[in-house]
Amino acid sequence: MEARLTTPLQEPCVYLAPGAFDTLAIGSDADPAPFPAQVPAQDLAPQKRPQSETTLRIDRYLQAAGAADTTRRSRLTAAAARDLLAQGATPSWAEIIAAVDRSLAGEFATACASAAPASARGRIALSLAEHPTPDTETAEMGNDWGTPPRHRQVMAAQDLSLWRPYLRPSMHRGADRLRNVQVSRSAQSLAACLCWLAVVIIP
Amino acid sequence: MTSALSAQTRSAQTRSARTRPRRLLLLFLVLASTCAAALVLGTILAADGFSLLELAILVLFSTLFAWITTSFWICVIGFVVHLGAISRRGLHATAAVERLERPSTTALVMPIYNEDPARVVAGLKATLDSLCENDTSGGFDLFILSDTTDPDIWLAEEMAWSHLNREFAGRIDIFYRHRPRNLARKSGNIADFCESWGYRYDYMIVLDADSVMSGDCLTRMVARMDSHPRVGLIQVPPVPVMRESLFARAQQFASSLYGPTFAAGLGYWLEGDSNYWGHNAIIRVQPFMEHCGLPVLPGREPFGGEILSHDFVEAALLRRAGWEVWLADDLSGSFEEPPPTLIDHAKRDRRWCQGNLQHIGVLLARGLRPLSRLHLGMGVMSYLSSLMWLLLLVLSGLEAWRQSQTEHSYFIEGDLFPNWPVSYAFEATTLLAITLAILYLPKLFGYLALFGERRRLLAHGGAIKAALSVVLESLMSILLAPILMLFQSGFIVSILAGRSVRWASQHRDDEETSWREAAAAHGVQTAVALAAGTLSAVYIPDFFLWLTPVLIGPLLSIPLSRFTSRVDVGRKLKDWGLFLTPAETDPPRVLQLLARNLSARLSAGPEDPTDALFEQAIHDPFMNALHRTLLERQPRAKSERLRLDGLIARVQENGAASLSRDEKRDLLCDPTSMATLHALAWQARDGTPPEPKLSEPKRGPEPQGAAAG
Repeated sequence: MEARLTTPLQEPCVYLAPGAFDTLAIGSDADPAPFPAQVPAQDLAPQKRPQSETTLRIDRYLQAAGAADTTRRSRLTAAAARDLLAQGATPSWAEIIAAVDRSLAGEFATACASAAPASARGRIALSLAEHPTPDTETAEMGNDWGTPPRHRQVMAAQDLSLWRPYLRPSMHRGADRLRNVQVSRSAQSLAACLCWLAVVIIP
Repeated sequence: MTSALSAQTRSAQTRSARTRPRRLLLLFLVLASTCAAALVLGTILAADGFSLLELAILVLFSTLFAWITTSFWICVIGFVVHLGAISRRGLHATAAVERLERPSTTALVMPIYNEDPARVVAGLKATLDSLCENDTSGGFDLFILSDTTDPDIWLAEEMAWSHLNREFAGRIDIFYRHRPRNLARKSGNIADFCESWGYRYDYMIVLDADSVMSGDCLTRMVARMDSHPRVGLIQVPPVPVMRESLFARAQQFASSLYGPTFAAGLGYWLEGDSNYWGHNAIIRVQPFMEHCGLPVLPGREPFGGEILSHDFVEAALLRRAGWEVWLADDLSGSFEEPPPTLIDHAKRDRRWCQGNLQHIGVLLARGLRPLSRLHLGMGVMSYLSSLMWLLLLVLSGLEAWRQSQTEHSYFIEGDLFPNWPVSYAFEATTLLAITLAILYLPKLFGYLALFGERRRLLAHGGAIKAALSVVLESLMSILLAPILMLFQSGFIVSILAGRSVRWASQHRDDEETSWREAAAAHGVQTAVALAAGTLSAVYIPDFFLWLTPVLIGPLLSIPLSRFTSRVDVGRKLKDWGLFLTPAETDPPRVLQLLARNLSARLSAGPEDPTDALFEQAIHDPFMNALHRTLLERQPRAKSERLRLDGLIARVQENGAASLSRDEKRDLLCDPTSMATLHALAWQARDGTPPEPKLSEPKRGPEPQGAAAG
């Protein structure tokens, strides 16, 4: 999962303009260099950094993530550095963060005695306290962690169509008889004459 | 359980036999009063024969009279019930019910939409603290169901949830869910909860963003549901509290004084056919899920589309399926906040107006119970009545003008005797007196009911100050009622013209109305009042005097709106002992907790500008991790991925300020983008000296429990 997240970072031509992020990250008045025109060419090439610098970076990140305890931080730094060393590549920040997350996730999974969670959760646990707090240790959390697992059961939309008058079953027979009534032609003529007379006489 | 159900069915049958005569009596009282009033007015109007205009006046008057008379008779019986003259069989928890197979589980659900997270958390903390003091069974969970669209408020909600969760760790499970797409507004939000997690709970108690409920009230609601398996919903009337502007305090006083008698009356007439008011109610989840899925109404907005005022319809659907809906007016400990100003009240009315008028399309839906139709109809009438009142005034003016233009003829051709004019002054005065009595007697009942409970009387400031407050509140309502009538009439016209309302969060702080805002909102009303006053004074001077009480309010609406929004005036009246309520003078524990939380929030000083939260979520390891773990991973199309990459590049190039609100939200919705941005932010820091203090996440004080770890 994390490898996928860091994939874009393997392409240094896209994401290396530092100016705006300096402002974002530490609130300094860094030069907001327009991207990518003013990015120096040497920045675009993969850089070799000494091991001690990587360790410093891991340490700095862990400190920002809330690891106040020096011993613990050293332990986590060493674990993350070993992880990065095993990969053998020059670590980018995405890789460093992924390594830190992996080492934290390992620690977190041990503390929770449950399946290994997504790595970013370890960072939360690290920041909150030495051991995961109850909000991080509920075993049955769902995918998004803030909620229990979803069991979808659809609420069917109810019928709100308009009421219309209808015949009850007992009335159907009478209605059928009315519908099938046969009137002879002479009776029809007589009725028509009576209607005419009524129209003429009554007014 | 089965025997409990059959016992419940039997009791429902006896209840039905008991309530039918009551409801017939109410119908008779309303019809008889209306017929009598219509007869008197008909006699007056028919002196020279009926014109079409007079007929229209009679119809409008009768409808409006029936409307106010219904409320009047509800209050009369409420007053009698309140005095204890009639015993009412309410819905009480019974100890004799079979033991439940397992303790019931209840979810408190709070749908929120761009609300102030600090205020939401203050209310929730008060409710949860009170609950923890009362209930130790652990049968309650809380779900914060966010539909928030503002990215910074979204992030603030997550941080607030994190703090709240740690504070109540081990006592109450608190969950947070954010919906990236706000389908079907609040009802869709609740439906999403039911569809996803309804399987875990027997009941849910729906809270509004400003709801506060005491632990005692919550546990009693659950106990009642446990005791009555046929009850699908119990609504506890929320009492408005905590606001300090003059307008809000007058509302709070009115609700505190007149509300109990009205609610007691409603409970007496309706019993298990009551209504749902959208929040501060407990709902049995299973029947709600089976019978309350809302359809999309045919046609276009404003009448078609999603059902806006879902509560009435859901109550009607529960009743259609045979579940009882009760109003628990005897339960205390249910609170909400009223709108602080007249303009905010009108804004809320605009939403409710459209929602209620939409019910016209549901009114004749198949299979609904007659009383459910009545509830829906009364909801429609509560807004239509304003337009009818306006029409009545206009037609009465025309009739008065017509009368002034006609000279009485003393001698009619072919008649030997003179035709003397007949005076109907007595009948007219009597009718006016009766109408005023119907409007104002409920206020008197509310006041008199205070004398039955000494503690309540003292909490309202004592006999004299409570009486003064009633007079003042009545004067205010005389001035404000025509303004609201003009507002609501305008809303109806705009809705009929096809203008739909947008979904906006409610303004909940005591912020005063500016002159500019007042002029913009009331300018038209002032002009209308001025024109009506001038026309009537010039052409129908006799009618002008009658019209004066209705004209004064709109004429002074601009200064009045501004004046009533003032907090200092509200506080001054409080110091004088006016408009006092028990929530102010003798606040229950849960409100004390809320006040403490709110003052702690104020004393904490100005918060970090929320604008910075998006940036913090990018660079801060904790916030970034918290946000990402709360997101549901969704597959994204390649084109969407490319668009998001473009946004990331834009942030790099121009900073986060270059993104629009929607673009920020899109990035926040995508865990991959947030991880990428986080890594990039740290990459950008290379070469700068490490400044751990600056990069520390900006968080509030850690709760003690968390710090201990």
